[in-house]
This record gives sequence, structure tokens and C-alpha cells, in this order.
Amino acid sequence: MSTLVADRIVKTFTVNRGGATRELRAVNDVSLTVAPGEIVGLVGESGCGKTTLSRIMIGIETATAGEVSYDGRPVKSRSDWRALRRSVQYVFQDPFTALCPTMRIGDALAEPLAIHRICPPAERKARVARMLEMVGLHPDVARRLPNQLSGGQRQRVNLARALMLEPKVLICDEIVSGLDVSVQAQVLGLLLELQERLGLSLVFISHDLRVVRYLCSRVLVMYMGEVVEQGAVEAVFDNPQHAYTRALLAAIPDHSRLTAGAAN
Amino acid sequence: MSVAAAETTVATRPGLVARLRLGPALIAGIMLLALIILSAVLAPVLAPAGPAVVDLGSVRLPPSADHWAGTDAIGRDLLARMLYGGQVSLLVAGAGMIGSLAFGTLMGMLGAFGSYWVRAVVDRAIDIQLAFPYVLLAIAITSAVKPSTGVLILLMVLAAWAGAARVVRSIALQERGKDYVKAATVIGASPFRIALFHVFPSVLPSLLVLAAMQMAAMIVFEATLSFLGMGVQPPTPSWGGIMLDGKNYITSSWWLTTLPGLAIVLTSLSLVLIGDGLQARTDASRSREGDE
Repeated sequence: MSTLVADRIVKTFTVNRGGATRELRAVNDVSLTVAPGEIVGLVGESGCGKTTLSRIMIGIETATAGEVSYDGRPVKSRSDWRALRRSVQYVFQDPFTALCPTMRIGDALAEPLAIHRICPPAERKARVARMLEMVGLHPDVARRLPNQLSGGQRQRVNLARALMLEPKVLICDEIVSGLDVSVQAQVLGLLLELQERLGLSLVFISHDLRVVRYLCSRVLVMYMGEVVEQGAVEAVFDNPQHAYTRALLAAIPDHSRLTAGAAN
Repeated sequence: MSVAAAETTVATRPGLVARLRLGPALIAGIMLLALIILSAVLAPVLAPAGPAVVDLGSVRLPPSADHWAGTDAIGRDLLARMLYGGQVSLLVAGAGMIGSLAFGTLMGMLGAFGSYWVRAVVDRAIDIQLAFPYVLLAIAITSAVKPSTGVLILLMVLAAWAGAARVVRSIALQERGKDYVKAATVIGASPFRIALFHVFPSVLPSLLVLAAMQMAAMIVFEATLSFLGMGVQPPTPSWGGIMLDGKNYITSSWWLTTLPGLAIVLTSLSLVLIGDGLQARTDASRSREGDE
């Protein structure tokens, strides 16, 4: 079955500060398996390497060591990556930079269809309209430019664009962290609904533990480029083993105290 | 009262000119250039006799009611020659500008999107071109092959492509690092597709500014080479060629060199004004983007 595996990924950057070069391990020996239909959470603070890992898994960064494989086949050459991207798609963190500023939304959404010759040109418009409706946008949005849309609308467009190729796995890199809280809830609800309807596997990257708990069945906690804890969401959240996970969980604002105070 | 007045201003849509955001420099430049182009295009109407009518009875006459710009050493009407010469100068400069921008854009995109070796070759080619004195290059080439209009245009492309290549490459490199280019890669777009459909539209405003500036430079370049006898060949008139014809009489018949020189100055001035105006517009829209 369609399983995406990242095996012992290492990514080092060479930093040059004041003439002295030193190596920085952004990702250190991390493995991640995404089974069909599964939602895997990847949590950790900014700069812990979760975005780098996710970008390696889609091939827009290259790993220093380790291997990505899909369906049991290792992904190595450029054509392997092209083939992988037919089944695995990626949604970027920042909805304001992930869309080409000069391209109309309709053209941006039709582009994947044109590149992979998925349907006859006459059919593209209808498919784009259907997809826009599926992510809760009016089909008229197709005529707009990205700067005429709000952040939430743009993130829906990004999601729609990634889904045009009908992927099996979707990697979402902090897709709601740039949005207002009310819009976050809408986009997350949409994501969950689409995941169920399309039977997607999801890699959901976030630093918001409440969101991860709400969405994911399994979670990996990253700290300083390494996975310090992983397992089922309930197990990790209810009985954290690692000090960093405990610190993360302790940082969640406690709503029970608020409601308790109201009850008194 | 003041509230009502404010509401009216808000309600009225800005006029066409305001919506096009033409500054005074842009308007002046466009009008001047339009006048020059129009006079060149209408040369057959304005001077129906053509540029080559020799009248040895009226040689080197100063500007008068009969000959507005005077006559040259073999009695040809200077205004007619300048009008027809304008056609040649503008066409040659236009061809040189388009050629150098097209080649420069191609090289600039290769310099941003090519493989490691392609990028290295483009970088060195740009360095070499910028270090090379183009008049010397022109003399070298025209001493090897017979000078003609085609060779002149080729020389223009050789002399000017690197400027465009540098501008395109730097913008393309900037855009290439942005998320939308990575997003395009992820949906399967080839580097060629990304360069053409995603990055080129971002390059276009700067390319328009460059087109005006290059055109001005090309007008001067054509005049320089034709004046040195390496450009447009007689009897075809061009502004630089007319000045070459008049240079022996510069102390006695000032109009033979001054008037075509003035045509060159006014044309490049109009183009520089347009270029400056366009530049101000691009800067303005870029800073608006930043405010967003």
C-alpha cells in the first residue's frame, strides 16, 4: 500500500560565522512512517527541524544522509521525485508567499492538470470550479489574483491546488499558524473533512499541541533536530516521558481552571 | 459642507489618466516620442519627393521657408533626409533593443535556472561582455566583414545583452528562492515552465524600464557607429550617417550636424523620460506590495 517512509534522515547545514565554519545538524537521524489513511502529527518549537524534514520528504530540500521511500521503493533520481509528487503533495506554511503573485487563482489551480495532462483542456475549468467549491470557496474566486484574497482564502486555495492531483499523502507545514483563530478552526475542519472523504494520509506539522491532539492519531515530538518521543497521541499527551514534551504540555493554557472559576 | 465634499471625492472614480498612473515625466516622454515616431512614419507624406533628390543648384543652403532644415553638400533637402533617416534610425535601434532584450532575458533566465555549469558559463559571459569595449568590438568586426544594417543590429545585440541579462538574472534569483516557485516544483512544473509562467511576469516591469533605457542607448549607438562609417551605409540616410555627411562643413554649415544631432538628443531624452517614469511606477507598486 501507499506508505511514505523517511528513513534515518540527517540534514546538516554549514554555517559560516566570522570565518569559522561549523556544522549545524538541523535534522539528526529522524525516521517517520506514514501509513495509508493515517494522520501523523509532528510537533516541536520553531527551528527544531520539522519543516526541514517535511521539505526533504517532498524533495525540495536534499538530505545529507538517509533515504525517503514510497510504496517500498526508494526515491532517489529526479524522475523518482517527479513520480512521488504525483502521489504526495505539500501545503506551505505561509499562504501569502506560496501563490504566484501574477497568476490568477483559476490558472494556478489548472496548472497541475495541464502539467500532468490529467484531463482535456476543456474540462479543466469545471474541475477547478468543483475543487474551489470543495474547499468552500465561490467559483468566481478563479478570476481573482492572490492579493485580492484573505489569508484564510489563500490557504484554502493552496490546499485546493495540492489536492488537484488527487494525492494519497498530504504534508501540511503549519498551514494554520499564520491565520486568525476562528479561520484556523474553519481550515482545520475542512482538512479533516477532506481527509475522511478522500482517504488521505496526512503529515500535520504544528507547534500547537491542542490542534495536534484534535487531528492526529500518532505524534512525533522533535527537539533540536531529533525525535525525543513518539507514539499514539493519547499515550504521549497523557503520560509524557521526555522532559521537553512535559514542558510543551505544561505550556498549554489550562481551560479547566477558567471554567472552574466560572462555576464557583 | 466639507463632509459632502469629501463624499463626492470618494464616490468619483479617478479619471483614465489618473488610473493609468502616468507621471509628468512619462507623459512628456510619451508625447515627445510619439511626435518623433509619427514624423518618421509620415515621412512619405511630409516629404513626398523622398530623401535622395539632388539639386546642385541649391547646395548647403541654410534653413529657409523652402527648405526648413536647409540643404546638404549636394543640395538634398535636409528635413526630408532627417525624416527618412528617422525611420532607419528608429527601426535599427528598435531591432537592436528587442534583440538584446530577448537574448539578455534568455541568458539571464539560464543564469538563474540553469545547471551549475550553465550558470557558471553565463556568469563569465556577462563579466566578459561588460569588460569589453563595444566600439572596439565594432571596429574589429566591421574590419573583418562588410558593414551593413544587419551587422549593425548584431553588434547592438552583442553590445547590450549583458545589461538585460544581469537585471533578469538578479530578479529571477530573488524570485527563485520564494515559496511559490517551490510550490510550482512540487506540483510538477519544469524549470522552463517556472521561468516562463511564474517568474517572467515578475521580471516584466523591470524589463519595460530597461527597454526604454536600452532604446535610448541604441539610438546613440546607431548614431555613433554610422558616424564612424561602420553602421548604416550610404545612400540610406540615418541620423548618424547624416552627421557624418555634414561633419566637413561643421564650421560653415552648422545645420548639417546640429539638426540631426538634435533629433538624436530629443529621441533619447524622450526615451529616458519614459524609462524614468516607468521606473517610478514599478518602485511605487513594489512599495505598495511591501505595505500589504
